[in-house]
Amino acid sequence: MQNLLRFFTRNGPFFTWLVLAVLSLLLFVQRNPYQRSVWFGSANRVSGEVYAWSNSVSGYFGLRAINEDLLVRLGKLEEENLLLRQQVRNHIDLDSALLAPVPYRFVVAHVVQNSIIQAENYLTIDKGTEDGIQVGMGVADHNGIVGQVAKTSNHFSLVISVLNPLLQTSSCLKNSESIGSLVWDGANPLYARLNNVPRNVPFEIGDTVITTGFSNAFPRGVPVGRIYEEVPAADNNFLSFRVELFTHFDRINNVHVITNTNPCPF
Amino acid sequence: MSFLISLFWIVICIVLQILVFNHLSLAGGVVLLYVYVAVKMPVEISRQIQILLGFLIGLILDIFCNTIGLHAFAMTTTMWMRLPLLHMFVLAEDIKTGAPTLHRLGIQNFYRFLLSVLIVHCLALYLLEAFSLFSLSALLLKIISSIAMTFVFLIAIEMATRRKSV
Repeated sequence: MQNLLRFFTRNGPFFTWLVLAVLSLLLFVQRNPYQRSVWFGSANRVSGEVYAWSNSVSGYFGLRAINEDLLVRLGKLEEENLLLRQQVRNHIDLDSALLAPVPYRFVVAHVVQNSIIQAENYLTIDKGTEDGIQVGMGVADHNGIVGQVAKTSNHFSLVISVLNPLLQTSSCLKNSESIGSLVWDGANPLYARLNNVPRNVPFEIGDTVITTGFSNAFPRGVPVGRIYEEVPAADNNFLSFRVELFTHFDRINNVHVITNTNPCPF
Repeated sequence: MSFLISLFWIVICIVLQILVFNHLSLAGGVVLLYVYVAVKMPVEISRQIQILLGFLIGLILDIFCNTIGLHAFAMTTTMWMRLPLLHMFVLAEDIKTGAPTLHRLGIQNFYRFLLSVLIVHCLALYLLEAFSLFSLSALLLKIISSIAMTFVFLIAIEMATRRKSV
């Protein structure tokens, strides 16, 4: 017994290290945000407030570039709106068409924390359950998709970024119905991979990739990116692409959370 | 009182790391300012306390960076290794109390000690991180970039504050 005690006191630092290292590793292997407490991430009240305070200063950086982006996007939407109005007018009564209910609502949120260099990236936004945000909702900005809500507290939410291999988003080519899954390969924050696209799908380099609307998170047609090149797939029956993302993850400032008021039951 | 001052500097290191340095990356690596705590902690503090403190600092960083367990593991390991590393370059009798400084260790020994602490820390941090995603070239680049940037930055701090700590 005395020998055992002496062994422990002599190797005290080692055992302290061993216990704490094993504890850290246990936390690390269970790091999936859907399963752990919101206190273990940046969306809890304390870290949320710290980031919100810091963002009240740094949020002004890069506004010029974001402004340009918004104006370009506004112009595109204006064009699209005119075109659609023209097309709709030819077919049905425009006013009744515009009154038809759309099941999606957008909640605007500020990004208070964002990372792009880690192996698994997350964002923190300043809207939480009290603003109607729920786990699983899609998040996009004016350029394209950003991610999906993984955890919420009262005033903050943790968003699992597209730049995180834990998130797979159902996506397709704009001119086709065949779906694939978009996942980040960790190499470069400008690109992601679109896997499992059936081989018979016609495509060209530069084709636009959009969300499919097969999940409750995103409606069909949220822009994702454009095909940059074809890459070897794991399976010969499918195609894989490297997709250049539309979203500039290095300067995300404002996003909208897409709330689905009429989710389809699974 | 000196304990409170040390605590204050530790908090400053963590806050700067979270709000500033985590956003300035070069080739995937960042300046790891908080490792300075593992370099400068007085040697007479019980090693168990040092390791526990490392764990707590890592855990706080993890919560803010959404990497739960990652920094905690790396900091715990660094804190455990720091004294054996120090005694590789300096005799234990020569430094019984106080913090290892550039002045006390001499330029060469301090450089060696700092570099070895950084290598242990970055290997623990980035090898564990690589478990979720593996790309050897990106990993090596990240490790080298982080070590180089942190080394230069911490030496600069050490030079700038040399007179105070003598």
